[in-house]
Amino acid sequence: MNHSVQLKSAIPADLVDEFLKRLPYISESLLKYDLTTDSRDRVHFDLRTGGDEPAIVSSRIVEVADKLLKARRASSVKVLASRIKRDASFDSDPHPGLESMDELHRYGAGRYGFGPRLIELMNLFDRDVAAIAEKYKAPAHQFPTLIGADLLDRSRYLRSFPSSLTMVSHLREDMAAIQDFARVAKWDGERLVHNPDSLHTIQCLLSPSVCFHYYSWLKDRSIDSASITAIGKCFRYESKNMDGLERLWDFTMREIIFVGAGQFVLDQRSQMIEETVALLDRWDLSFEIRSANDPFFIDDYASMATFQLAFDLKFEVLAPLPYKRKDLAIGSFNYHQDFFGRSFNISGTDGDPLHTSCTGFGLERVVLAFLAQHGLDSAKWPDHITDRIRSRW
Amino acid sequence: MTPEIEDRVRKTIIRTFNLSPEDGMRELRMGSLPGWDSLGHMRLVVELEEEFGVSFPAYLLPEILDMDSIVRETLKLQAEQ
Repeated sequence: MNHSVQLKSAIPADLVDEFLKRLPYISESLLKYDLTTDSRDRVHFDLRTGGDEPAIVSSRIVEVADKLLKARRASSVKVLASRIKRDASFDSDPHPGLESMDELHRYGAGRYGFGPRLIELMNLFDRDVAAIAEKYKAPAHQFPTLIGADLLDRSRYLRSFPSSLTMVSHLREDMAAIQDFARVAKWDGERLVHNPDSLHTIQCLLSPSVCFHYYSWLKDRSIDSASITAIGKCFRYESKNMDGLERLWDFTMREIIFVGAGQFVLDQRSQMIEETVALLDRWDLSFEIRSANDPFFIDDYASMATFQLAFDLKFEVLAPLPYKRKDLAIGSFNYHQDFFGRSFNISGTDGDPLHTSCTGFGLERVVLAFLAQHGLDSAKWPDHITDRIRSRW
Repeated sequence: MTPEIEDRVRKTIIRTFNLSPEDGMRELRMGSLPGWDSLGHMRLVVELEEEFGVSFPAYLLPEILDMDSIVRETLKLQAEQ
């Protein structure tokens, strides 16, 4: 690569992925980049000609590294359950096979269509998770795919994850603007050509998560506790990190959401983790449940990540992808303390803000992990799955 | 020793969260002040570390949620570090 920059200190091994995932956002001119594997203190990169100057990109890379490390303190990772199987029976990338079976169609980065057999598998996994929700008497809810900017602002999402937002707009209610758009709008091979002045200000975004809707639903209410489940489309833009079914822009999430006093919510989360371990065993998946942190935007990253880890606020289900020799997060158990109770004025009968927790499964990732570990021949799948599918693979 | 530490901890909390002198005399604990949320907690930890020249390990962060616990753990860390 043509350029390189020396970092002030080496990136710790456990932060390398976190660091590299942030680099696509520093400049539209950045084409390729890599961190020196041994010393982890120098980044090599290539730039598109005519874009940002190398010195500017270099300073931004150093800034990202500095902020990632600022206020960081070592936290020991807690492992709640581990079923890592060393003898993977299948280690091929399932994407090409799925595409040749016409079960997977790529529309663009992070955007895929599923065929009937993949849908059947995804629905089966979803029904198993929804069955857990029934044990908690958590009734099904449905929420819009659009989410108000006011709601995301109140949830502090706009400031915490700005790079992943997907804004929604529409044309202004203005005859001239609409006619102008109709006249000039066309796809030029890279983008939709239009006059930005014809667009309305942003009121809504595509929802990045399911549970925010429910906290807004309960706004200004006083309740004892509540448990619900919902499935919904979620959207998180991840730039060059979007890669097959591993990291989608547009994905499906099944959530089980608990609202109540702190101990109630924590107890429900613990039981959810136990139920999930039993379910993953029935799916015969290799997995580990570990403490984790969200990919906060860079300015708050170290503080928020440290806080989440220290307070055990997030645990992830990590499933190995044998063809990649890396793990994929397919689900998470999140405890928000009383953050949403305060943000949305949801209180208990004693007047105190309620605590919240949500368990979420990214269904496309569950399907990918299953197929990556078990392969595309349904005769080799666990009976718990093959006994319930109509179309054999 | 402890009253002096208590005073410095209280002043650090007042400074971190821009409290009025009256609010600074109230019961001070995480969640009792508008700014003492997750991010505020981490800001306070950094301020306390600078004030007392100690370093709070990650496992202690959930333990230092009010005046008494901060004073207690700061004294322990000063003795150790």
